[in-house]
Amino acid sequence: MDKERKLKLAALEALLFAAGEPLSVSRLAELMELERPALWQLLEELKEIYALPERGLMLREVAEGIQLVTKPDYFPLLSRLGKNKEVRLSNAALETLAIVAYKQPVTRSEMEDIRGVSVDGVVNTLLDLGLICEAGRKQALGKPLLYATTAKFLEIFGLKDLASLPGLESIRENIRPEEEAVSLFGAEED
Amino acid sequence: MALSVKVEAFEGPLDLLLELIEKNKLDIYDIPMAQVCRQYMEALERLPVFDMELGSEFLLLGSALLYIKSRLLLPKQTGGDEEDEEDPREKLVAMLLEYRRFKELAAQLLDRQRAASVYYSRPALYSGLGEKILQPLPLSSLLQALADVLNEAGEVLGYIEPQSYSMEEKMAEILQLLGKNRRGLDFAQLFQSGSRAEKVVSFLGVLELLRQGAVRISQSRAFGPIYIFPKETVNG
Repeated sequence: MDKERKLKLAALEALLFAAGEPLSVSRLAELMELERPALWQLLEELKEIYALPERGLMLREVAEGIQLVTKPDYFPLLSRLGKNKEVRLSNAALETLAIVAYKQPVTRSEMEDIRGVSVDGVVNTLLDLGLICEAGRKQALGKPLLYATTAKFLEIFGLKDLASLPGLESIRENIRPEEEAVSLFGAEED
Repeated sequence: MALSVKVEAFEGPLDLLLELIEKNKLDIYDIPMAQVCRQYMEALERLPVFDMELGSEFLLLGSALLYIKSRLLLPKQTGGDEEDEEDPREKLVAMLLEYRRFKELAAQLLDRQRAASVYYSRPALYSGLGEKILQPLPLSSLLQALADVLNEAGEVLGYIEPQSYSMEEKMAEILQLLGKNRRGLDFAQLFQSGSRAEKVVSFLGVLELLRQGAVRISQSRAFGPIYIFPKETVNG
């Protein structure tokens, strides 16, 4: 490997280290002033280097980008150092997050229709944690706010993109179109 | 009833209902309403603290369950069109299935989160390094946006006159009227004029006078006219 190439690998490594969070390939290409195929090539080489047993780091494909992380083998060791920035969610928050993830963009009242309880508290928690964000307004009465998941959600749940949500195949055919929201006290016939 | 459930652990009424159905191995598509209603109500009584907000959600589903149970008890209408024949439990089942699906998906997400937690990453050194830079916009767009906002804000809004009625004044007024009509005052007469707020205050005034024992009211038959009398006079 020529010296210039080695320096590029070093630069890419430095960039991923400094970023911490996942960077998209196009963003990396832009920062490195390279074409995307050339950048992919560099990423492949970096990956090979990290595959060596004497390296403790690896590249993870997550949240539509590439992130520099430690190898899972060293998780127990690193746990001794201190707690990871762990996000602990209550069942209520997880359920609500699942609704947002699979039905996005979705309004608060649509979430409430499914859970059967008010979601104001949990939605605010999820917003504060940066797992969901506002995503425009629904063109319906009252123009309610819509919510969608964020890149941080993908990162924390180790998802490459929304298409890799678990159980997506089963959900597609089963989820009711939102228009038919169910009410137990529906309009009485006649 | 050998049903032991910890109510405080439930996320909501649907969660509780689902748990009842699963604990008792009931068929979700053919829910025995009488049994489920009874157990649901029993579980409600064990709610440790009555949280107004959550409690009302539990009660809402409870009343829906009773409603469905009552519909099932009623004889089926004959000759009605197809829609009348619909099982009243159908919507409940759809809600439960939908809720259960998301509960399962939530569990799958939690598995993913646990699996992803073995990768340590470090926080960003430079904030905004990964962020997209905003599209450059000309100054004119900003000015236009400001003009739009000001335009909207400049809309003339109507002015609502403040209305204030004191209950003391109303009470005095009612007593005065009663003084003139010692043989009784038609209750409905008090509300023939005035704004909604004024009527509310008048009504409160009557209630307060009644509480103080300053007036009596009488109604000779159901839905008949109500008369107000000063306390000292005898009816008729």
